[in-house]
Amino acid sequence: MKEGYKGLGVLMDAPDGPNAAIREMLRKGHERGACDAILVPMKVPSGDSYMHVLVDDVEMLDRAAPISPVLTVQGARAVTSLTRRGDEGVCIAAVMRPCEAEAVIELRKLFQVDLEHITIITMDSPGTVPLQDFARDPEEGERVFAEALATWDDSAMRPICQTCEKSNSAVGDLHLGLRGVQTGKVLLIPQGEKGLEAIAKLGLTPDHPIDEWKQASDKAMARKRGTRKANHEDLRKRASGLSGLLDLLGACINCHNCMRVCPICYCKQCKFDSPELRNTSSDYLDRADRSGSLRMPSDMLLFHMGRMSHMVLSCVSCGACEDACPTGVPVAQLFSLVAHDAQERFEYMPGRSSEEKRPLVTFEFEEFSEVED
Amino acid sequence: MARRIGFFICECGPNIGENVDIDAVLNAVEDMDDVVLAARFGLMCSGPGKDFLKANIKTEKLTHLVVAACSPKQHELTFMEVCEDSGINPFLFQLTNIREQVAWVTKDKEEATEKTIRLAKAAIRRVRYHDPLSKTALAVNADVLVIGGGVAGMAAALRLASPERRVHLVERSSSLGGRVVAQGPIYPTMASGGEMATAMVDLVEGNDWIVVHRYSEVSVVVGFFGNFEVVVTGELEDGGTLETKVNVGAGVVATGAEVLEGKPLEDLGHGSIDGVVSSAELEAMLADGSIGGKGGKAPKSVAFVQCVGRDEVGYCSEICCMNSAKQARLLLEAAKGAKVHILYRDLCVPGRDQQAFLEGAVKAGANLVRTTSVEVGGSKGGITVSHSLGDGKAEKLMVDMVVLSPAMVPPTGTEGMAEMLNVELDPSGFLLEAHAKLEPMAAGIDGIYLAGSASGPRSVSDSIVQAEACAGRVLSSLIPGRTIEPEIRVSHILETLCTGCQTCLEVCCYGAIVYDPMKNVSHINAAICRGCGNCVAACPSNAISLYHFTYKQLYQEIVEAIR
Repeated sequence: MKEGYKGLGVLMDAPDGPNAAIREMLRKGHERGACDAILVPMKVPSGDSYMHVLVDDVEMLDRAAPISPVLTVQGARAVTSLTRRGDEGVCIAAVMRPCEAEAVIELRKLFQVDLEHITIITMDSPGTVPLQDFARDPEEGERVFAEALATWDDSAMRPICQTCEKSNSAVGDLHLGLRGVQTGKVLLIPQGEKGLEAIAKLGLTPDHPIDEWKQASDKAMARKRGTRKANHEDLRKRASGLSGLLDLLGACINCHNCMRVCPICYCKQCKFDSPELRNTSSDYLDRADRSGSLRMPSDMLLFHMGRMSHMVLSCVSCGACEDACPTGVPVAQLFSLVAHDAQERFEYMPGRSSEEKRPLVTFEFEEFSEVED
Repeated sequence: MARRIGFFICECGPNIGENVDIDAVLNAVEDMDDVVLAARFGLMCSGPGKDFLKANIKTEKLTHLVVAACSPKQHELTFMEVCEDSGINPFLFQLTNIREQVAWVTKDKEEATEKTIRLAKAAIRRVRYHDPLSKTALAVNADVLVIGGGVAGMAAALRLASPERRVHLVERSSSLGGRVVAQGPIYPTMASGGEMATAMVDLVEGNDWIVVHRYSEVSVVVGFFGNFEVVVTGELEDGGTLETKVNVGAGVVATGAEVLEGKPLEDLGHGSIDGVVSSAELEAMLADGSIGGKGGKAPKSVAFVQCVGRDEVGYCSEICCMNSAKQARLLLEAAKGAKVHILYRDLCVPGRDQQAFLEGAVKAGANLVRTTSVEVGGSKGGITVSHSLGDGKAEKLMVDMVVLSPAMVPPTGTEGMAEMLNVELDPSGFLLEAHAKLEPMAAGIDGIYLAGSASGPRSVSDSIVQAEACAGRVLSSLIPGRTIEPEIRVSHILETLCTGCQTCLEVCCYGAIVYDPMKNVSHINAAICRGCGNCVAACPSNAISLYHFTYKQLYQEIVEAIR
């Protein structure tokens, strides 16, 4: 955990549930000058989806759903679009889930966001409802999510959420602990200087031990780790070898939606969309020659493996890719499996700290000696 | 214009001829697109071989050339010259190595032939996508950067500076002269070190071709022999800094050494017991007359303690024994009849004059005592020095002055200097020379030389020998008016694709990439880039490509090799 963390938080009243408590806190923060604007998920006017909205007028906060039932545009993408052209001193409080905040931190290392004046607020995440389920029946989606938030039963949440051991990670400058906290209360946990500063501006004093929250979280995360292990074991079998991989990705329609919604895919133009991969028909025929046939357009596998090799060390397993896949390819679960293994090899955890260098730009003299001659 | 590719396979005498079925290779490639000729020759790198190539290029009007022969390290340039002589751009050529990578290592002839065919086809396929590149000539910069304004740095600068060679002498402190300027007489001649250094300072300051940067440090060095780009950061009086960009062709590092401070000296009473001084403090006292001068003190008994901190640093500092012998002689002159003990562990008196000098000190009254351990304590009547004589016996001396001879250590900032220059450090923290015996004044990288104590404690005369050697290396190789051909197979960044993530900056070993915050893109300095390709591999956005190793070229080559 970051510097400034003292194992203490603020136990806040939340008689109307955590969403209302966060709205109230945001309103208070704005009033006291802790931020000039707020970036927060909000229900779209038609009522069937949620988007990150930059709120200038606090009256509008009534419609904010800080803990939204779905992950639509990844919060890190919203922060990128907001600060990509640099920081102009506008202080913004951005509310998002831990996985979104982790992606923000990764993008900070890649100079794609400017966090100078951004205060990130995260919360224990019960998971999110699969995007397509929600789109089909928003009412049912709302109901299922409300139940998950109340009971912490994640069985109706996205598969990637069910295996996410970081869903309670206190990533933000301020984190709201919900699990294991007494009913009608939330635990506001400050992290680092920014968190302490924000809490001071809110006129609060961290005086409540976070142990109970921590114990409940650790227990829940241990359970999720178990689920993940089983899930990964199964997936590893299914994805093994070229044919396994091709079967798993077989339904891919080359729409590249997974790349477009991925917060870590920040290139201006994806190499796999570029004319460089276009070849002449005789080249394709050459390739078809080898196994007798060639799927067209080609490079489906190359696209996924290329994208994987580019971003997997920074992959936070947010699941946006899987939500965006129109054909139900378990792409987030596959990427999460590879990400987990790859990150473990480098003892790297994306989003853990913005000071931690990415493995690609870290030189270790002694590394992977087992693959040397 | 249509491509007309000529493919040539070299038999390399029996080397390739006996291990590869060359005719089978020729058969396999002759029908490939754009191949108009496939031929063999006994020894392609020989005069007749080159003539054979030239003649065929002419008669067949070849536009591209592929040679299957030995390692590019050996003959790539040979065949590129043939191309140039025949009017083909030398980059429309590809050499594929079928000797080291096939004939010498693949025992089975059939397998070797198959491998050769793949490599030959890959090279032919690749060359179709080659672009002509034009070589550029860059005039060498004959100017030299000298870091450190002590005697070594000044000696190098004075030898190097001339109307056609400017020297930038960068000195961290306010004045030139280094450690020697504070010295009184120095061994073995007992001529004044201070006067000698001051005379050198005058020469440097009077030299129009030496630019002295005082209060300054070198903050950036990028580039290569003949073409270094340097940033000198100077401290201004108002506390600000001034960055001066300087271009040089070579650098001499003469950053000297410092004297050890702290615990090893404190353990022997330095700073807590009156009369315990360091050798540098004694030097100052002798110089300003507070010992021996009019009204100065005249100690009646003095103990020099040698090898202070030697165990901690792990090496002999080479100059302290002689320095103490010298100071003993000066003390004995200044304080007639004084008792002077030199407590040493091992005497270091190498060289022609040193032993006679030491004997002179003994003759003048210095008492040389070999000891294994020394303790210093304060007492009423003076200072107690207890030391053991090795064979279990101990001795106690009462003296009124103790002079500690501490080890010489690398100056602060050496690590940063090493990192900036890409020079290695030796375990003791000094800069490491390329070869202890053969190249003691060269750093591990071309164009950077080490003079004086920068690479370990050295006497004044050794420092000057090294400075002269550094100057000799520069003078004999960095000739004004000569040109170098910078690498043209370098990387370049496509601005439209660059996302400004600066990953390339982190992986560039040469400091060739800079980030432009206004445009939010990075740029490659082609004069500094060596074409290693690190940035190309690291760029997640496909924004960087390397001339002659483009994605297309590599892809086409691989397609054929693994078909």
